[in-house]
Amino acid sequence: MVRIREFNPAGIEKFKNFLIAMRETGESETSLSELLSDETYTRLLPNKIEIEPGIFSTKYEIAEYLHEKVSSISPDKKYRNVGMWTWLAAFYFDALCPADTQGIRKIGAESRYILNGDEWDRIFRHLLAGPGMIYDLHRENSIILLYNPVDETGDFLAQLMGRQEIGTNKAIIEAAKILYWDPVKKRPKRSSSPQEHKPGTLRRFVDVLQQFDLTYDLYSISGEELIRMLPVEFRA
Amino acid sequence: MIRKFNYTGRKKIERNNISIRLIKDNSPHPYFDLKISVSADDFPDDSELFVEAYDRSSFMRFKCGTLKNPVLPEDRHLTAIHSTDAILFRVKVVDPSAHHGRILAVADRLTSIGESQEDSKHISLLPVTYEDLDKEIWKLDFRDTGPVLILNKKIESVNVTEIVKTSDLFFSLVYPSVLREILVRILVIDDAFEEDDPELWQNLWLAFVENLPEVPKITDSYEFENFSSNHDFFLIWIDDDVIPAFCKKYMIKEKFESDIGGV
Repeated sequence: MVRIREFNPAGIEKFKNFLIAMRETGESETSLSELLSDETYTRLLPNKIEIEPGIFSTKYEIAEYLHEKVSSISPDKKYRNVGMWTWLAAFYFDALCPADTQGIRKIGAESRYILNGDEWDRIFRHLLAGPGMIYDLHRENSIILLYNPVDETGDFLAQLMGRQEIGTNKAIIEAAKILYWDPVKKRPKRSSSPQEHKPGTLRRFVDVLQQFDLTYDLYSISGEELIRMLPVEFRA
Repeated sequence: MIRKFNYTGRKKIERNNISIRLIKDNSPHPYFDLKISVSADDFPDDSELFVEAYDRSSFMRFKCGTLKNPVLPEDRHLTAIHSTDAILFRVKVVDPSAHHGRILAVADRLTSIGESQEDSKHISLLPVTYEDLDKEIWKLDFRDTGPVLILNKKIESVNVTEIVKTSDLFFSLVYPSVLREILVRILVIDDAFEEDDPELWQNLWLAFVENLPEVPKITDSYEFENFSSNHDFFLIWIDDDVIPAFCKKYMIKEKFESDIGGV
Protein backbone atom coordinates (compact mmCIF):
# COMPACT_ATOMS: atom_id res chain seq x y z
CA MET A 1 0.00 0.00 0.00
CA VAL A 2 1.17 3.50 -0.81
CA ARG A 3 -0.04 6.68 0.84
CA ILE A 4 -1.45 9.22 -1.62
CA ARG A 5 0.66 12.30 -2.21
CA GLU A 6 0.16 15.44 -4.25
CA PHE A 7 2.54 17.17 -6.63
CA ASN A 8 3.56 20.73 -5.91
CA PRO A 9 3.80 23.10 -8.95
CA ALA A 10 7.41 22.05 -9.56
CA GLY A 11 6.33 18.42 -9.45
CA ILE A 12 3.59 19.04 -11.99
CA GLU A 13 6.13 20.77 -14.22
CA LYS A 14 8.50 17.84 -13.83
CA PHE A 15 5.76 15.39 -14.79
CA LYS A 16 4.81 17.60 -17.72
CA ASN A 17 8.41 17.48 -18.95
CA PHE A 18 8.40 13.72 -18.48
CA LEU A 19 5.35 13.49 -20.77
CA ILE A 20 6.95 15.75 -23.38
CA ALA A 21 10.15 13.70 -23.40
CA MET A 22 8.21 10.44 -23.63
CA ARG A 23 6.16 11.81 -26.50
CA GLU A 24 9.16 13.12 -28.42
CA THR A 25 11.78 10.46 -27.76
CA GLY A 26 10.01 7.55 -26.11
CA GLU A 27 12.13 7.91 -22.99
CA SER A 28 12.81 10.32 -20.15
CA GLU A 29 15.62 10.97 -17.73
CA THR A 30 13.04 11.33 -15.00
CA SER A 31 12.25 8.18 -13.08
CA LEU A 32 8.55 8.19 -12.32
CA SER A 33 8.92 5.87 -9.37
CA GLU A 34 11.44 8.25 -7.79
CA LEU A 35 9.44 11.36 -8.68
CA LEU A 36 6.33 9.94 -7.01
CA SER A 37 7.93 10.01 -3.57
CA ASP A 38 10.45 12.82 -4.03
CA GLU A 39 9.90 15.30 -1.18
CA THR A 40 11.13 18.14 -3.41
CA TYR A 41 8.22 17.66 -5.77
CA THR A 42 5.52 15.99 -3.69
CA ARG A 43 4.01 16.01 -0.25
CA LEU A 44 1.80 13.60 1.63
CA LEU A 45 -1.89 14.41 1.47
CA PRO A 46 -3.21 15.40 4.92
CA ASN A 47 -5.96 12.80 4.54
CA LYS A 48 -4.29 9.48 5.23
CA ILE A 49 -5.41 7.62 2.13
CA GLU A 50 -3.64 4.51 0.96
CA ILE A 51 -3.83 3.00 -2.49
CA GLU A 52 -2.23 0.14 -4.29
CA PRO A 53 -1.19 -0.46 -7.85
CA GLY A 54 -3.76 -2.57 -9.61
CA ILE A 55 -4.97 -3.82 -12.92
CA PHE A 56 -8.16 -2.09 -13.94
CA SER A 57 -9.79 -3.26 -17.12
CA THR A 58 -12.27 -0.38 -17.39
CA LYS A 59 -12.65 3.26 -16.39
CA TYR A 60 -15.55 2.14 -14.25
CA GLU A 61 -13.36 -0.16 -12.16
CA ILE A 62 -10.71 2.43 -11.44
CA ALA A 63 -13.33 5.14 -10.83
CA GLU A 64 -15.18 2.95 -8.34
CA TYR A 65 -11.90 2.14 -6.59
CA LEU A 66 -10.62 5.72 -6.39
CA HIS A 67 -14.03 7.13 -5.50
CA GLU A 68 -14.06 5.05 -2.36
CA LYS A 69 -10.48 6.06 -1.58
CA VAL A 70 -11.06 9.81 -1.83
CA SER A 71 -14.43 9.75 -0.07
CA SER A 72 -12.98 11.42 3.03
CA ILE A 73 -12.11 14.58 1.06
CA SER A 74 -14.77 17.29 1.15
CA PRO A 75 -17.18 17.24 -1.84
CA ASP A 76 -16.14 20.63 -3.18
CA LYS A 77 -12.45 19.72 -3.28
CA LYS A 78 -12.45 16.01 -4.03
CA TYR A 79 -12.13 16.15 -7.80
CA ARG A 80 -10.31 19.45 -8.08
CA ASN A 81 -7.06 18.84 -6.33
CA VAL A 82 -4.76 19.34 -9.31
CA GLY A 83 -1.65 18.13 -7.48
CA MET A 84 -3.32 14.96 -6.21
CA TRP A 85 -4.98 13.88 -9.45
CA THR A 86 -1.85 14.59 -11.44
CA TRP A 87 0.15 12.56 -8.93
CA LEU A 88 -2.41 9.75 -9.23
CA ALA A 89 -2.04 9.84 -13.02
CA ALA A 90 1.70 9.43 -12.58
CA PHE A 91 1.14 6.61 -10.08
CA TYR A 92 -1.17 4.75 -12.47
CA PHE A 93 0.76 5.76 -15.56
CA ASP A 94 1.12 2.16 -16.77
CA ALA A 95 -2.67 1.83 -16.82
CA LEU A 96 -3.31 5.25 -18.35
CA CYS A 97 -0.64 4.93 -20.99
CA PRO A 98 0.12 1.27 -21.52
CA ALA A 99 3.07 0.18 -23.58
CA ASP A 100 2.30 -1.81 -26.71
CA THR A 101 3.92 -5.13 -27.56
CA GLN A 102 7.04 -3.30 -28.70
CA GLY A 103 7.22 -1.30 -25.52
CA ILE A 104 6.07 1.93 -27.15
CA ARG A 105 3.70 4.21 -25.26
CA LYS A 106 1.37 6.55 -27.10
CA ILE A 107 1.28 9.70 -25.01
CA GLY A 108 -2.04 11.50 -25.33
CA ALA A 109 -2.98 15.12 -24.71
CA GLU A 110 -1.53 16.61 -21.55
CA SER A 111 -5.00 17.20 -20.09
CA ARG A 112 -5.48 13.43 -19.90
CA TYR A 113 -2.80 13.20 -17.21
CA ILE A 114 -2.43 16.69 -15.77
CA LEU A 115 -5.59 18.09 -14.28
CA ASN A 116 -5.65 21.61 -15.66
CA GLY A 117 -8.29 23.80 -14.10
CA ASP A 118 -11.39 23.08 -12.15
CA GLU A 119 -13.98 23.40 -14.85
CA TRP A 120 -16.37 20.75 -16.01
CA ASP A 121 -14.86 19.97 -19.39
CA ARG A 122 -11.33 20.11 -18.01
CA ILE A 123 -12.03 17.63 -15.24
CA PHE A 124 -13.71 15.05 -17.38
CA ARG A 125 -10.86 15.06 -19.88
CA HIS A 126 -8.57 13.80 -17.12
CA LEU A 127 -8.32 10.02 -17.25
CA LEU A 128 -8.79 9.58 -13.50
CA ALA A 129 -10.51 12.67 -12.06
CA GLY A 130 -13.06 12.59 -14.88
CA PRO A 131 -14.23 9.02 -14.34
CA GLY A 132 -14.06 9.57 -10.57
CA MET A 133 -16.35 12.57 -10.72
CA ILE A 134 -18.71 10.80 -13.14
CA TYR A 135 -18.93 7.77 -10.83
CA ASP A 136 -19.52 10.10 -7.90
CA LEU A 137 -22.49 11.63 -9.73
CA HIS A 138 -24.06 8.60 -11.34
CA ARG A 139 -22.80 5.52 -9.46
CA GLU A 140 -23.85 2.28 -11.19
CA ASN A 141 -25.47 4.13 -14.09
CA SER A 142 -22.06 5.54 -14.98
CA ILE A 143 -21.18 2.18 -16.55
CA ILE A 144 -22.64 3.45 -19.84
CA LEU A 145 -20.00 6.21 -19.78
CA LEU A 146 -17.10 4.31 -18.25
CA TYR A 147 -17.30 0.84 -19.77
CA ASN A 148 -14.18 1.07 -21.90
CA PRO A 149 -10.46 0.75 -21.11
CA VAL A 150 -8.90 3.33 -18.83
CA ASP A 151 -6.86 4.93 -21.62
CA GLU A 152 -9.74 5.30 -24.10
CA THR A 153 -12.43 7.96 -24.42
CA GLY A 154 -15.73 6.52 -25.54
CA ASP A 155 -18.38 8.20 -27.64
CA PHE A 156 -20.97 8.06 -24.85
CA LEU A 157 -18.61 9.90 -22.55
CA ALA A 158 -17.85 12.55 -25.16
CA GLN A 159 -21.46 13.10 -26.22
CA LEU A 160 -23.14 13.05 -22.82
CA MET A 161 -20.54 14.62 -20.56
CA GLY A 162 -19.57 17.44 -22.91
CA ARG A 163 -22.54 19.50 -21.79
CA GLN A 164 -22.81 20.14 -18.10
CA GLU A 165 -26.61 20.28 -17.95
CA ILE A 166 -26.74 16.80 -19.44
CA GLY A 167 -23.73 15.35 -17.67
CA THR A 168 -24.91 16.33 -14.19
CA ASN A 169 -28.44 15.04 -14.69
CA LYS A 170 -29.03 11.67 -13.05
CA ALA A 171 -32.24 10.97 -14.98
CA ILE A 172 -30.54 11.47 -18.33
CA ILE A 173 -27.67 9.13 -17.60
CA GLU A 174 -30.10 6.57 -16.13
CA ALA A 175 -32.20 6.81 -19.29
CA ALA A 176 -29.11 6.45 -21.49
CA LYS A 177 -28.18 3.29 -19.63
CA ILE A 178 -31.69 1.85 -19.98
CA LEU A 179 -31.79 2.70 -23.69
CA TYR A 180 -28.32 1.77 -24.80
CA TRP A 181 -26.62 -0.59 -22.35
CA ASP A 182 -26.41 -4.29 -23.18
CA PRO A 183 -26.15 -6.01 -19.77
CA VAL A 184 -25.22 -9.35 -21.29
CA LYS A 185 -22.35 -8.15 -23.43
CA LYS A 186 -21.46 -5.48 -20.90
CA ARG A 187 -21.09 -2.80 -23.49
CA PRO A 188 -23.37 -0.35 -25.32
CA LYS A 189 -25.78 -1.95 -27.75
CA ARG A 190 -24.53 -2.39 -31.28
CA SER A 191 -25.00 0.61 -33.58
CA SER A 192 -26.27 2.76 -30.72
CA SER A 193 -23.82 5.61 -31.38
CA PRO A 194 -23.12 6.10 -35.06
CA GLN A 195 -21.67 9.43 -36.18
CA GLU A 196 -24.92 10.31 -37.93
CA HIS A 197 -27.99 11.54 -36.10
CA LYS A 198 -30.01 8.43 -36.97
CA PRO A 199 -33.41 7.89 -35.31
CA GLY A 200 -33.17 6.52 -31.80
CA THR A 201 -29.39 6.73 -31.56
CA LEU A 202 -27.18 8.57 -29.11
CA ARG A 203 -26.77 11.77 -31.09
CA ARG A 204 -30.52 12.01 -31.66
CA PHE A 205 -30.98 11.43 -27.91
CA VAL A 206 -28.77 14.46 -27.24
CA ASP A 207 -30.65 16.53 -29.84
CA VAL A 208 -33.97 15.70 -28.19
CA LEU A 209 -32.62 16.39 -24.71
CA GLN A 210 -31.50 19.85 -25.75
CA GLN A 211 -35.03 20.63 -26.87
CA PHE A 212 -36.54 19.02 -23.74
CA ASP A 213 -34.23 21.07 -21.56
CA LEU A 214 -36.13 24.18 -22.59
CA THR A 215 -39.49 22.67 -21.84
CA TYR A 216 -39.11 20.24 -18.97
CA ASP A 217 -37.42 20.40 -15.62
CA LEU A 218 -35.34 17.32 -16.29
CA TYR A 219 -33.98 17.26 -12.74
CA SER A 220 -37.41 16.50 -11.31
CA ILE A 221 -38.08 13.32 -13.26
CA SER A 222 -36.65 9.83 -13.26
CA GLY A 223 -34.89 8.05 -16.08
CA GLU A 224 -37.96 5.87 -16.67
CA GLU A 225 -40.17 8.96 -16.92
CA LEU A 226 -37.77 10.58 -19.33
CA ILE A 227 -37.87 7.53 -21.57
CA ARG A 228 -41.67 7.64 -21.63
CA MET A 229 -41.47 11.25 -22.84
CA LEU A 230 -39.14 10.43 -25.75
CA PRO A 231 -40.45 10.24 -29.31
CA VAL A 232 -41.43 6.87 -30.73
CA GLU A 233 -38.08 6.47 -32.51
CA PHE A 234 -36.56 5.52 -29.12
CA ARG A 235 -38.96 2.64 -28.55
CA ALA A 236 -37.46 0.13 -30.96
CA MET B 1 -28.49 24.65 -37.65
CA ILE B 2 -31.09 23.35 -35.24
CA ARG B 3 -33.03 26.24 -33.81
CA LYS B 4 -34.66 25.92 -30.44
CA PHE B 5 -38.24 27.02 -30.09
CA ASN B 6 -40.25 27.86 -27.03
CA TYR B 7 -43.18 25.63 -27.98
CA THR B 8 -44.84 25.64 -24.57
CA GLY B 9 -44.90 29.38 -24.00
CA ARG B 10 -42.52 29.16 -21.10
CA LYS B 11 -42.34 32.55 -19.38
CA LYS B 12 -39.31 34.59 -18.61
CA ILE B 13 -38.76 35.76 -15.06
CA GLU B 14 -37.28 39.24 -15.19
CA ARG B 15 -33.97 39.64 -13.40
CA ASN B 16 -35.34 42.65 -11.60
CA ASN B 17 -37.85 40.41 -9.85
CA ILE B 18 -35.25 38.17 -8.30
CA SER B 19 -32.60 38.94 -5.75
CA ILE B 20 -30.09 36.32 -4.66
CA ARG B 21 -27.58 37.11 -1.96
CA LEU B 22 -24.62 35.01 -0.91
CA ILE B 23 -24.01 35.07 2.81
CA LYS B 24 -20.97 33.83 4.69
CA ASP B 25 -21.24 32.40 8.18
CA ASN B 26 -19.07 30.07 10.24
CA SER B 27 -19.37 27.32 7.66
CA PRO B 28 -16.61 27.00 5.06
CA HIS B 29 -19.32 27.36 2.41
CA PRO B 30 -21.59 30.37 1.90
CA TYR B 31 -25.34 30.01 1.73
CA PHE B 32 -27.82 31.89 -0.41
CA ASP B 33 -30.88 33.93 0.30
CA LEU B 34 -33.61 34.44 -2.26
CA LYS B 35 -36.20 37.13 -2.73
CA ILE B 36 -38.60 36.72 -5.59
CA SER B 37 -41.45 38.97 -6.59
CA VAL B 38 -43.37 37.24 -9.33
CA SER B 39 -47.12 37.26 -9.31
CA ALA B 40 -48.33 33.77 -8.48
CA ASP B 41 -51.69 34.59 -10.07
CA ASP B 42 -50.34 33.80 -13.53
CA PHE B 43 -49.40 30.26 -12.54
CA PRO B 44 -51.16 27.19 -11.12
CA ASP B 45 -51.42 27.28 -7.32
CA ASP B 46 -49.12 24.34 -6.80
CA SER B 47 -46.37 25.60 -9.11
CA GLU B 48 -43.10 24.55 -7.52
CA LEU B 49 -40.13 26.81 -7.10
CA PHE B 50 -36.56 25.56 -7.52
CA VAL B 51 -33.23 27.29 -7.19
CA GLU B 52 -30.25 25.73 -8.91
CA ALA B 53 -26.73 26.89 -8.15
CA TYR B 54 -23.95 25.98 -10.52
CA ASP B 55 -20.51 26.77 -11.74
CA ARG B 56 -18.45 25.20 -14.47
CA SER B 57 -18.08 21.88 -12.72
CA SER B 58 -20.65 21.56 -9.99
CA PHE B 59 -24.37 21.80 -9.44
CA MET B 60 -26.78 21.95 -6.51
CA ARG B 61 -30.55 22.11 -6.51
CA PHE B 62 -32.89 23.38 -3.82
CA LYS B 63 -36.64 22.91 -3.65
CA CYS B 64 -38.04 26.17 -2.33
CA GLY B 65 -41.74 25.46 -1.79
CA THR B 66 -44.25 26.84 -4.22
CA LEU B 67 -44.34 30.13 -6.05
CA LYS B 68 -47.41 31.06 -4.04
CA ASN B 69 -45.76 30.13 -0.77
CA PRO B 70 -41.98 30.10 -1.12
CA VAL B 71 -40.23 28.22 1.68
CA LEU B 72 -36.48 28.15 1.54
CA PRO B 73 -34.86 24.97 2.84
CA GLU B 74 -33.14 25.37 6.19
CA ASP B 75 -29.72 24.36 4.90
CA ARG B 76 -28.83 26.39 1.84
CA HIS B 77 -25.08 26.12 2.13
CA LEU B 78 -23.42 25.58 -1.22
CA THR B 79 -21.38 22.64 -0.02
CA ALA B 80 -20.89 21.03 -3.40
CA ILE B 81 -20.13 24.17 -5.37
CA HIS B 82 -16.47 24.59 -5.96
CA SER B 83 -15.98 28.16 -7.02
CA THR B 84 -18.26 30.63 -5.35
CA ASP B 85 -16.51 33.39 -7.33
CA ALA B 86 -18.04 32.17 -10.57
CA ILE B 87 -21.30 30.84 -9.21
CA LEU B 88 -24.50 31.31 -11.19
CA PHE B 89 -28.10 30.64 -10.26
CA ARG B 90 -31.14 29.45 -12.13
CA VAL B 91 -34.66 29.93 -10.76
CA LYS B 92 -37.38 27.68 -12.15
CA VAL B 93 -41.12 27.58 -11.73
CA VAL B 94 -42.26 24.04 -12.48
CA ASP B 95 -45.69 22.54 -13.03
CA PRO B 96 -45.79 19.32 -10.99
CA SER B 97 -49.26 18.22 -12.01
CA ALA B 98 -50.69 18.30 -15.52
CA HIS B 99 -47.39 17.95 -17.35
CA HIS B 100 -44.98 16.52 -14.90
CA GLY B 101 -41.83 18.58 -14.74
CA ARG B 102 -42.90 21.16 -17.30
CA ILE B 103 -41.08 24.46 -16.88
CA LEU B 104 -43.55 27.33 -16.59
CA ALA B 105 -41.02 30.10 -16.11
CA VAL B 106 -37.30 30.44 -15.73
CA ALA B 107 -34.51 32.91 -15.08
CA ASP B 108 -31.00 31.73 -15.77
CA ARG B 109 -27.42 32.96 -15.40
CA LEU B 110 -28.27 34.97 -12.32
CA THR B 111 -25.41 36.26 -10.27
CA SER B 112 -25.60 36.93 -6.58
CA ILE B 113 -25.73 40.42 -5.22
CA GLY B 114 -22.31 41.86 -4.55
CA GLU B 115 -21.33 45.27 -3.28
CA SER B 116 -24.25 46.94 -4.95
CA GLN B 117 -27.65 45.82 -6.10
CA GLU B 118 -26.66 46.48 -9.67
CA ASP B 119 -24.08 43.73 -9.59
CA SER B 120 -26.76 41.10 -9.85
CA LYS B 121 -28.13 42.54 -13.07
CA HIS B 122 -24.91 43.08 -14.87
CA ILE B 123 -23.99 40.59 -17.56
CA SER B 124 -20.48 40.71 -18.88
CA LEU B 125 -20.37 39.93 -22.58
CA LEU B 126 -16.82 38.69 -22.44
CA PRO B 127 -15.53 37.59 -19.03
CA VAL B 128 -11.75 37.24 -18.78
CA THR B 129 -10.02 34.44 -16.89
CA TYR B 130 -6.39 33.43 -16.46
CA GLU B 131 -5.16 29.88 -16.96
CA ASP B 132 -2.02 27.99 -17.85
CA LEU B 133 -2.10 28.00 -21.68
CA ASP B 134 1.44 26.71 -22.05
CA LYS B 135 2.77 28.40 -25.22
CA GLU B 136 -0.41 30.21 -26.20
CA ILE B 137 -1.08 33.81 -25.23
CA TRP B 138 -4.85 33.81 -25.36
CA LYS B 139 -7.76 31.78 -26.53
CA LEU B 140 -11.52 31.81 -26.48
CA ASP B 141 -13.43 29.15 -24.65
CA PHE B 142 -17.09 28.71 -25.50
CA ARG B 143 -19.01 27.71 -22.41
CA ASP B 144 -22.70 27.21 -21.77
CA THR B 145 -22.85 30.73 -20.43
CA GLY B 146 -21.03 32.24 -23.42
CA PRO B 147 -17.51 32.93 -24.62
CA VAL B 148 -14.74 33.53 -22.13
CA LEU B 149 -11.41 35.12 -23.02
CA ILE B 150 -8.62 33.13 -21.42
CA LEU B 151 -5.18 34.67 -20.95
CA ASN B 152 -2.07 32.71 -20.15
CA LYS B 153 -1.39 33.27 -16.45
CA LYS B 154 2.07 31.77 -16.85
CA ILE B 155 3.42 34.72 -18.81
CA GLU B 156 5.84 36.10 -16.28
CA SER B 157 7.65 38.90 -18.10
CA VAL B 158 4.59 41.16 -18.27
CA ASN B 159 1.54 41.85 -16.15
CA VAL B 160 -1.14 40.12 -18.23
CA THR B 161 -3.99 41.40 -16.10
CA GLU B 162 -2.86 44.97 -16.68
CA ILE B 163 -2.30 44.44 -20.41
CA VAL B 164 -5.88 43.25 -20.90
CA LYS B 165 -7.19 46.36 -19.18
CA THR B 166 -4.91 49.01 -20.63
CA SER B 167 -2.91 47.90 -23.67
CA ASP B 168 -4.11 49.44 -26.94
CA LEU B 169 -1.84 47.07 -28.80
CA PHE B 170 -3.46 44.05 -27.19
CA PHE B 171 -6.93 45.44 -27.80
CA SER B 172 -6.25 46.23 -31.45
CA LEU B 173 -4.71 42.85 -32.24
CA VAL B 174 -6.94 40.59 -30.20
CA TYR B 175 -10.45 41.94 -29.99
CA PRO B 176 -11.35 42.06 -33.71
CA SER B 177 -10.30 38.41 -33.95
CA VAL B 178 -12.27 37.59 -30.82
CA LEU B 179 -15.37 39.21 -32.27
CA ARG B 180 -14.98 37.38 -35.59
CA GLU B 181 -14.54 34.03 -33.84
CA ILE B 182 -17.60 34.56 -31.66
CA LEU B 183 -19.83 35.50 -34.58
CA VAL B 184 -18.61 32.59 -36.69
CA ARG B 185 -19.36 30.33 -33.76
CA ILE B 186 -22.89 31.69 -33.37
CA LEU B 187 -23.87 31.92 -37.02
CA VAL B 188 -21.89 29.17 -38.72
CA ILE B 189 -20.59 26.51 -36.35
CA ASP B 190 -23.07 26.13 -33.51
CA ASP B 191 -26.15 24.05 -33.88
CA ALA B 192 -28.75 25.64 -31.66
CA PHE B 193 -29.88 28.68 -29.78
CA GLU B 194 -33.17 30.10 -28.74
CA GLU B 195 -33.91 33.29 -30.60
CA ASP B 196 -36.64 34.64 -28.34
CA ASP B 197 -34.51 34.71 -25.20
CA PRO B 198 -32.87 38.15 -25.18
CA GLU B 199 -30.56 37.23 -22.33
CA LEU B 200 -29.03 34.25 -24.09
CA TRP B 201 -25.37 34.99 -24.86
CA GLN B 202 -25.83 34.52 -28.60
CA ASN B 203 -28.62 37.09 -28.68
CA LEU B 204 -26.66 39.50 -26.49
CA TRP B 205 -23.72 39.37 -28.91
CA LEU B 206 -25.92 39.79 -31.96
CA ALA B 207 -27.63 42.75 -30.30
CA PHE B 208 -24.22 44.24 -29.53
CA VAL B 209 -22.98 44.07 -33.13
CA GLU B 210 -26.28 45.16 -34.61
CA ASN B 211 -26.00 48.30 -32.52
CA LEU B 212 -22.65 49.19 -34.05
CA PRO B 213 -22.97 52.16 -36.43
CA GLU B 214 -23.79 51.22 -40.02
CA VAL B 215 -24.16 47.51 -39.39
CA PRO B 216 -27.17 46.12 -41.28
CA LYS B 217 -29.54 44.25 -38.99
CA ILE B 218 -29.69 40.57 -39.87
CA THR B 219 -31.76 39.05 -37.12
CA ASP B 220 -35.01 39.88 -38.89
CA SER B 221 -33.69 39.01 -42.35
CA TYR B 222 -34.74 36.19 -44.64
CA GLU B 223 -31.27 34.71 -44.35
CA PHE B 224 -31.55 34.53 -40.57
CA GLU B 225 -34.82 32.64 -40.91
CA ASN B 226 -32.99 30.12 -43.09
CA PHE B 227 -29.89 29.76 -41.04
CA SER B 228 -28.17 26.63 -42.19
CA SER B 229 -28.20 27.41 -45.90
CA ASN B 230 -26.78 30.90 -45.54
CA HIS B 231 -23.35 30.47 -43.99
CA ASP B 232 -21.70 32.42 -46.81
CA PHE B 233 -24.07 35.31 -46.28
CA PHE B 234 -23.15 35.49 -42.60
CA LEU B 235 -19.41 35.23 -43.27
CA ILE B 236 -19.63 38.15 -45.70
CA TRP B 237 -21.71 40.14 -43.22
CA ILE B 238 -19.12 39.51 -40.50
CA ASP B 239 -16.14 40.42 -42.70
CA ASP B 240 -17.59 43.31 -44.67
CA ASP B 241 -19.92 44.95 -42.18
CA VAL B 242 -19.36 43.97 -38.57
CA ILE B 243 -15.59 43.86 -38.20
CA PRO B 244 -14.98 47.13 -40.13
CA ALA B 245 -17.69 48.84 -38.04
CA PHE B 246 -16.18 47.51 -34.82
CA CYS B 247 -12.70 48.65 -35.88
CA LYS B 248 -14.04 52.07 -36.80
CA LYS B 249 -15.96 52.58 -33.58
CA TYR B 250 -13.10 51.45 -31.36
CA MET B 251 -10.41 53.14 -33.50
CA ILE B 252 -8.46 49.91 -33.83
CA LYS B 253 -5.97 51.22 -36.40
CA GLU B 254 -5.30 54.35 -34.39
CA LYS B 255 -4.86 52.33 -31.21
CA PHE B 256 -2.38 50.04 -32.94
CA GLU B 257 -0.40 52.91 -34.50
CA SER B 258 -0.28 54.84 -31.29
CA ASP B 259 0.88 51.87 -29.22
CA ILE B 260 3.30 50.36 -31.72
CA GLY B 261 4.83 53.80 -32.22
CA GLY B 262 5.99 53.71 -28.65
CA VAL B 263 7.67 50.30 -28.99
